[in-house]
Amino acid sequence: MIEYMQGLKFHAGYQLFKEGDRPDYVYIICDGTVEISRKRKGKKVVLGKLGKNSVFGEMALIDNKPRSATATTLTETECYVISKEDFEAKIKDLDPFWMGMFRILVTTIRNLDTKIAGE
Amino acid sequence: MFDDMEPLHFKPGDFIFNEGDAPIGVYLISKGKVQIFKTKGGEQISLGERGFNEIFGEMALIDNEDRSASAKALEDTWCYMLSPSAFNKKLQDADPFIRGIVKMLVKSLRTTTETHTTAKAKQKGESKTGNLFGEKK
Repeated sequence: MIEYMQGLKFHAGYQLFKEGDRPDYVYIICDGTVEISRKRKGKKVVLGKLGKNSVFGEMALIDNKPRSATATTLTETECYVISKEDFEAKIKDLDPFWMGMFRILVTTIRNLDTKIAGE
Repeated sequence: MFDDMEPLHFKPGDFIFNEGDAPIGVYLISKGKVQIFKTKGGEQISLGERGFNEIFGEMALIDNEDRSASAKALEDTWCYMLSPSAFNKKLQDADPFIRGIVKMLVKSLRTTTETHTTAKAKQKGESKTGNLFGEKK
């Protein structure tokens, strides 16, 4: 699994990706803190803060849709990244149960997000 | 992955679970077709269909709330059912990569559901209009 990954370092305040971007990587935090946020009615809404060992950026790669949120480093952060191509190769031979699980969870989360944004 | 389990069989029209039931687990369809729906004023409103290798009842993994919709077999259907504890057991045995992603998704689902429930509860006090699901088809 490690052979897929590339370790990268980012300074604090770096935008890893933003809402609406086409997905490129999945991230795993080795060290540091990343903030996940969305814009709602022009205002930034923080959805969460992620630390060591958290995985993020996977949703857009599972269903091949634009990024649903923005990810910004809050501190100097070290991440492993997996490219879209490697991620797709990795999940291609996955047990259908996990693939189904990924898809349904992503769909449910996106639907709820849309409802929340509409409220 | 389910070698150690027998799939459950449902005949066309059988209810797999009902809106309001206490959730017992998440289902994977090995054969057949299932309709997910809500009942309002005696009418069934379809929320979608699931088929081969698709999952439903996933909310059982994150909360103990009663089922928010019903699931009915549309044809002869076989499903595997995993209780939350069986699911966690499978997750422990999975590749760390899979485990990381599933854990993250389940966590996001929990956060999103909580935000949605809070927003909905707030809204309920303010307005009684709007449709059942907060969205137009």
